[in-house]
Amino acid sequence: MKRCIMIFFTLILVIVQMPMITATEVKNQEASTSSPRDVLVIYDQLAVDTVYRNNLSAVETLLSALSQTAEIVSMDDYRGGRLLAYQKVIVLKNTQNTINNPALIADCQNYSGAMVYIGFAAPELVPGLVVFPVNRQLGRTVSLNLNGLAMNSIWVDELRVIDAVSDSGEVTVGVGTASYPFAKTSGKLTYVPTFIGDPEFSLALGEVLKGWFGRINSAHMTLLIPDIYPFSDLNMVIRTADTFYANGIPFALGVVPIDDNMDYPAMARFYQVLRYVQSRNGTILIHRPSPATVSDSSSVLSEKMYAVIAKLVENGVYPLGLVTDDSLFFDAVDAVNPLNLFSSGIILPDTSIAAVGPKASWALSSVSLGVTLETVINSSSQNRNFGNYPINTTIVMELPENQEVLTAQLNTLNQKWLSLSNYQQLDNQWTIGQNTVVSSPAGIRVNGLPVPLVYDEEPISDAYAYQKPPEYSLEKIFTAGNAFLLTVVGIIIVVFIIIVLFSRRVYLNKFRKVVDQDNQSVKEKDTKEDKAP
Amino acid sequence: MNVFDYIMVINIFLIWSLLFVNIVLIVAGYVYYLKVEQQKPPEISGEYPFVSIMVPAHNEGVVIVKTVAALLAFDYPEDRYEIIVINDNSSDNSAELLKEIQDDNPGRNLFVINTDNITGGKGKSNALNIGYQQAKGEFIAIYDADNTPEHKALRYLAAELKADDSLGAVIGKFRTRNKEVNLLTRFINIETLSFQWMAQAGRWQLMKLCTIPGTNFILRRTIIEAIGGWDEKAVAEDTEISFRIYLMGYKIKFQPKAVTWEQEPQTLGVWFRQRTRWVKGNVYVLIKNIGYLVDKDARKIRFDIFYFLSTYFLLLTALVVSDIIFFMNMAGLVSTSIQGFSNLLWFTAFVMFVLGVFIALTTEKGEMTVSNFFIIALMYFTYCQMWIIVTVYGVFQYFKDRIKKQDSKWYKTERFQG
Repeated sequence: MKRCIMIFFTLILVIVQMPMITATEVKNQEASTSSPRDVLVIYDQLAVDTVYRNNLSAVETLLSALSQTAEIVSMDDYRGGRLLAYQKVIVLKNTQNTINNPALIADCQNYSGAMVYIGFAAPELVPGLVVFPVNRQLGRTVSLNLNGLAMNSIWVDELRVIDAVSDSGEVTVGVGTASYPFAKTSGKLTYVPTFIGDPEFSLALGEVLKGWFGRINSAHMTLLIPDIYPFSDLNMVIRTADTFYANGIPFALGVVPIDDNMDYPAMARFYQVLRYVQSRNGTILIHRPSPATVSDSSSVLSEKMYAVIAKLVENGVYPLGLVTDDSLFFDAVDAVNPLNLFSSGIILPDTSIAAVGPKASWALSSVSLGVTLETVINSSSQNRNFGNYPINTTIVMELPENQEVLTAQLNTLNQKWLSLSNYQQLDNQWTIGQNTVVSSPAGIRVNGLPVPLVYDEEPISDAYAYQKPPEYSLEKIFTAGNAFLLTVVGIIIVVFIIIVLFSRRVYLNKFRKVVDQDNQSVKEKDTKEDKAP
Repeated sequence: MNVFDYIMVINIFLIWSLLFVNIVLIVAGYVYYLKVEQQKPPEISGEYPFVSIMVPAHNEGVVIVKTVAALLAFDYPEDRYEIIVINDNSSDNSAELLKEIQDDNPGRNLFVINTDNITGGKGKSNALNIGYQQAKGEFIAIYDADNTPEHKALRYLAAELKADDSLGAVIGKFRTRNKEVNLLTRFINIETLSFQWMAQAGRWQLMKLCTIPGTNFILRRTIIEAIGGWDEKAVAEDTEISFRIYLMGYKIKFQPKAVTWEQEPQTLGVWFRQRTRWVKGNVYVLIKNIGYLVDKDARKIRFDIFYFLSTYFLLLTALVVSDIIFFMNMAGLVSTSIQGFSNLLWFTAFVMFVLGVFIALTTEKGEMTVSNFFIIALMYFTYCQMWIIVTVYGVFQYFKDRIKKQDSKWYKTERFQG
């Protein structure tokens, strides 16, 4: 009987555990069994101690910037057959280490789709690589030439180039007087022998991937001033807006969402400044709240973001896109609601190393890759006009600290003859809550109606009660009681003071003081009580 | 309003009610002081009553010689009083010291009862019961072993008791002998003076009620006979016997001219242990006599029971609970919506406290000083808060002992040289 009971309980335990076991496995395999993204990225290692440490992160960012969804998996985690579900695969080989995953080798050898192979060649994995003659050079200063732009003086410890003549229009690597193709395609295989995850190489790879994905539309360049808070130097924001407006420079402000105290005068003044910026060809974009500083659950965060955006629109401020780092796209789409409802955004430059483990991304319709002003300065154009990088880019420039910095930045922008696009006139669209905002070259429309972006000053009351007085229970009773007790206590204090003054006289009579004429010695004459023993 | 609001309202009512009761007592106490000042010291008419002075002493070698010497020096006919020192299971040299005093004072009525751990060592009440077996006086006076009474103290106490048959006992005033030692003894000095002029003198003036303080008092032998001696379970035997006296229909009078000087705790540890014993003892007496609160025949002690009840339970509970709710409110754990009183009111209440206590000090020589004024202000934030802690601890310990069915242990206050 006991044995039967034991078996019964064991069975119960196993049955209870089953869904949990299954759920865990499903979660682990979710990335590999879910519907394929646009591209599969397979990497060998992050190579964190090498110059290639940012390569995976750079590839991820580029894919997001090209509005491509991706599934990322390491060679060790790769499971047989996954590659065959994709028409496009990127292999990132950051080390020369041997590949120990037979399933991957087998799948690669049988793969018939398009592939971009980046990094150290592994013919045992991709036999097609043998057709590319690689020339290895150590310690070289190179230039990257793309789209009429040259990015000069890039130091490369170990340069691997394809020893072939580059075709017209291809991205090239210039070494001294020699020029090599940055990438070469043979059949469905494109090989990028050298890639370092810095902005210049990213832009070069961006051009390669753009063509690979068949995105033929021309790229644009915009300007962003990020991290604007209500407590930023709003006078400088206005001055910058005026300066850029006077110089015909459209720009965008990245506004950090503030979900507290939205009725405060400080916020009203902030909205006022943002409206002014809009009227000066400025576009308002919303920063993604930092996951590191927001401890709320995603549902609470979502509520707050809805409230923030609704409040902005209510105050005549129309955010047209998102400012974020690349990690946003690797969070679950439903967890980042309503940020995923924007159609466009800017990816900030990010030098962090990519997170490990299988993962998959989502994408916005239109994205721009953030580049620093230094990258632009280091780029030279063959033409008087700077032109554009091959993919959508946004120059990210901090809010100037003072007039001198602003002037210097303005000079840089002017000297480069940049062709900056007005974000307001790009095609952007979102529907969040009750509001649908659309922008196009024709202007901004909110819920179908055009909105004027003219600035009209509205006085803000200084008499605002920052902290509303709380509502109390029994307020009348306590107010009356307080007055009553104050009166009573006041009377008691007066009575006590009278008693103390009276008792001083009694005290002096009882313990009479004899003070000599010079007031130098005081003797106390005690006639009534014994002294303390 | 939620439940915490109601609790806070009750607490505020209790705190302010009890504050006003004490204001009335302060004024009444001062009125009594003025009255006493205008009266001549009490004198004994006719034959001096025979008084048995009992001194329970457990390891009191440090102070006993000085105490007995002061008792022997009373301004009272030598043949009309006896001194019975109950050397209660002492392990120090008390027995030798007392023998020496006896040898030095032949012919004096000085008796020493040495008990061992079988007959003695069971607390003050037990020691008093042992001494009482030998006492011959029609009046019984009690002094603690660390006391140095003034010469006329016994005369004043006996005179009051002899003069008025409605009195069951007369209590004197005790002063702090070591008040200059440190801040703690200064606090205690102010505390004892204000307590005596407020609670003792005030209650006597208004209701002819006092509580026996445990030392420097005299009572009728017939009372001890009637109640069958001291309750040995009571660690606050003074409070216990006060209630018994009230119930017999007698009054207890405060005679501030009968002064004794006693040594008070000089360290926090000793103070804490002594006061914990007081709290536990008073809670015991309170619970034992709580039924008299609704007994129509016990009208006289109703105020005293209510006074103890309010001090040890109502006020304490109100203070602790309101503090807890305040901090929980600050931490966001509970919410209260009552408005409360203004800071100005709380400040004026504080000023009232300082002035009220200071009035009690104006009655004593050398106490009406600016420094004492500021010490009172400091006491509000320190000593008074320490009292809350010790009361909470004492009440907790009392109930812990009851749950574990342990008798309260007598803690003997440690004495200091000097």
